[in-house]
Amino acid sequence: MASIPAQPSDFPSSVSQSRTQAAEQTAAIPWYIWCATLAVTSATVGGYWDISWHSSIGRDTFWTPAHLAIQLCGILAGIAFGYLILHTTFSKNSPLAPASVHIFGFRAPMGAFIASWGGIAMLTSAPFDNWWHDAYGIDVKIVSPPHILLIMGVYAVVIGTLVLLAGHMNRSQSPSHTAERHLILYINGIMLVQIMILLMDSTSRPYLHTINPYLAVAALPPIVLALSSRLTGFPFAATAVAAFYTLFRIGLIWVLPLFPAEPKLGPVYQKVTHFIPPDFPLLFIVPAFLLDLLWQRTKSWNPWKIAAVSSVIWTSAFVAVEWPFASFLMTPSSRNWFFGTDYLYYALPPTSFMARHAFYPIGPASVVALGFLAALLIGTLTFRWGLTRGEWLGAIKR
Amino acid sequence: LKLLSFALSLVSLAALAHAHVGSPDIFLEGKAGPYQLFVTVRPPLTIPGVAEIEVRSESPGVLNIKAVPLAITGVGSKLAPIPDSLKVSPRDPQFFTGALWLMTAGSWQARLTVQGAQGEGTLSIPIPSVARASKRMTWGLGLVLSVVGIFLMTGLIAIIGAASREAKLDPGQLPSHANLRSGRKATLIGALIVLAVVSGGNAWWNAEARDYDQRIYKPLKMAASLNGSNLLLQMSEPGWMQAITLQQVAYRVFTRKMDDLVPDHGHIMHLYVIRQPGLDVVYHLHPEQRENGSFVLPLPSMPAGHYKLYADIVHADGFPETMVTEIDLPTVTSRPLAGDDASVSTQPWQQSSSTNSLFTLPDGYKMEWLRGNKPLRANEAMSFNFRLGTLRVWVVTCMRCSTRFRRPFRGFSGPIRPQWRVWEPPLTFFRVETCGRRGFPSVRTPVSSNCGLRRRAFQRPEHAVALQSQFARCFFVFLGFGVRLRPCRRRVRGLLGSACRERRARWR
Repeated sequence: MASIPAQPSDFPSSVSQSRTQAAEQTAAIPWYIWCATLAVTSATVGGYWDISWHSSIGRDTFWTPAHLAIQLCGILAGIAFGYLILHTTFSKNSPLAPASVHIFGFRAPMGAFIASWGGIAMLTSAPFDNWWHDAYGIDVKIVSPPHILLIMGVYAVVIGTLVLLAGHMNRSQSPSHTAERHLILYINGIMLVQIMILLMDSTSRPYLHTINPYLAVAALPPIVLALSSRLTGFPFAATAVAAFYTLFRIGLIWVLPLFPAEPKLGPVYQKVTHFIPPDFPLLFIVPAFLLDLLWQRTKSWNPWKIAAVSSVIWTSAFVAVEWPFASFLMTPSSRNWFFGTDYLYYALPPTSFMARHAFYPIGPASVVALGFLAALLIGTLTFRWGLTRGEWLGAIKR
Repeated sequence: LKLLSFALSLVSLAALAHAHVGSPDIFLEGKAGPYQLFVTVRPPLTIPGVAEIEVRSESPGVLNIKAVPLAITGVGSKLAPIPDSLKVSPRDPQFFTGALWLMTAGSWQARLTVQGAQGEGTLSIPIPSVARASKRMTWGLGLVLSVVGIFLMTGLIAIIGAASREAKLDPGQLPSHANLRSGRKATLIGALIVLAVVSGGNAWWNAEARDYDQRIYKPLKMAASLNGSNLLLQMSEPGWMQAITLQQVAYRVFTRKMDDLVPDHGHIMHLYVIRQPGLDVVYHLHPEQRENGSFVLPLPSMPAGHYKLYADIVHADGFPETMVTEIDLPTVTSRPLAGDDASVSTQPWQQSSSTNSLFTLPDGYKMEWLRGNKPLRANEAMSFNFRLGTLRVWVVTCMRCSTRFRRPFRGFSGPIRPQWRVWEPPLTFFRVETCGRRGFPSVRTPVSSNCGLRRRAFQRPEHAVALQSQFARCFFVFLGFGVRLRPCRRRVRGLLGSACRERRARWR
């Protein structure tokens, strides 16, 4: 457990403290935050590249470019946060020592510990995943225990970076924090893009006329949107984060097929000649825009009330736009380079719903109705959690 | 299993030894165009997994061999992934090794494309792809992951506590009692959350393991009963690779059915009836399919006893299976053998001495097993050396994997040449190499490469194999190996590889 300093003398002198504050008043975003930002960007690009690799080529090794991009996240995070923890703990003149927390006898800003935890989780997932392949076969799905450990690790690096950045911004005396707030917005965008990796299976096209994707998107994206709005204070923060996600995914659809690829694993059920991108992005941007309009006008409301109304707007607006859009995505009109619905995973059986451009059965009406109620409830909780975390991040100093 | 019956049918029990086989490996000798190849495929323990493939070219001039795994039937058999070039041994230019990724259960083939001085040729090796077991975590890895896991858990709890205690404090400010109290409270809540997450993860892991266990191969069940002199066989599904949910129907490319059996060598089922425990009476019979999953067989005249029944069937996609059951039979006085039916009676194996190494064959010849002092050990490559008579001795190579010797097994007639190939005839010894772990490699294949020391969960000590041999008095020497115990059936099936219609067509 954490060791708490018993005496004020455990902290550096007030002189160095004031020096720190003075430095942070004028200092730009420090290098380790840029390093961490590069790390999470690399993991995000690597993650989608890896999924495309598995959809197009199939076989991989430790040394595929996509894996290297993911591993670069660990390396950069290790450099940035390892340095930060060791330097803050052992250097007598570390400017960050007064702004650090204490865990297991080490000192560092809060975000450094969170991101380091993520790095260790990522490292642990490697032998775990290797054993998993030996024990239960080489899994071809995203959601498996070792993969979730890896994803948790990457998320921890992202959250750690965000906490580090928020702490830096809150300690800074700069009046606007423009750069910090834009960077926070970017990291929130990265976080939403990464969250949608986790939800990729449950939000795939054939499911879009069932309740599953609407439950899934009520569970995680609201946290990111509410948090980014509260933390940055930008009037259209949620819209910006949703737009980042949309452009990132559309960019993959436009760029990945430009590169040739052929399956190296069988069975091959779909002819593949190039990298396969993910599905067209979900239309988050519409409900996100409506949420921004709501949040601009409800700052004085009770947070639970904001969360409940946000959930209703989020779910109903998302259903209203995504449901008919999903119908369009199943038509031949969408099978082009823009929407990319004819890009199919090489091992997708021809009998599958995706290959047949068909929806799963919607299910009984009572189940659907209960599902939407559950989505509203989940959305209320997650929006509330996101708002709270946004406020907490806006207040942290370490 | 055909080999078992073949071995037993030829036996007059000259020698007996126990070795440890029980391998699922697949061996095949065939021609890829002008090139004679001896191919060994070692399927993975889990599916999806990576099979090892070894190819020995018995023809000179092979420059390159490419291998690609393909489904035998369906759309997957038409679209091939990029083939891999097998790696040539630096010490032996005619020995190639590589890997085959088997991504789903079902009936697969390894298609080899050979390029060399005599042009190009192809050869397909059928591979029944099934998960056979799951692997347990080693003690060391378990310890390392446990330590790191505990560190991650305690670290996360500590982070939650520190976040509540100190994160909002101004730089340099000491935590107050209220902060410390808040930190302790958060630590407790964090611990509960982490424990809940870990418990949920554990439940998920167990669910995944159970789901995988459902995919571990379970052969069709078979029940035998007697109605007068008619043997009734009823197949039943133990619940393996069934498409039940909508998603399974849409996405599962391989499902097992009981109504899709196809004839193999002219019969839907080949039934081997072997009296226990002496293995002294063997019948090879052909029940008729009455309806889906139900077979009937008018028994021929048979002595009473407890019999084990091994039933070979082949599904429409080429997937082979052997069902096993037992039955007690009274003395049956009925019809004589007919058609392709065959039988043999011999001396119970228990009456053979396990120490005597000199045996008299039915034709009067003497055969000596040059036993030596080396103990027989399971999972270890062994050489069995025999001396026949006192005059002529042969060196033979085990070619047991070759499918070409299957035809004579059926009717116990015709040439049996491919099983043992004369290697250097006029020498002092004939030498048969067998491998407890891997099967029966060619003499010319380095034992070390064919009989590596890798363990497989499939193999257990009880998978004993009775080695029984008989030598006929003719120019060729015949030797048969009989697998007595049930767990070996998949291996034998794999060896014989009776699944593939494509291959059958080629043989015919």
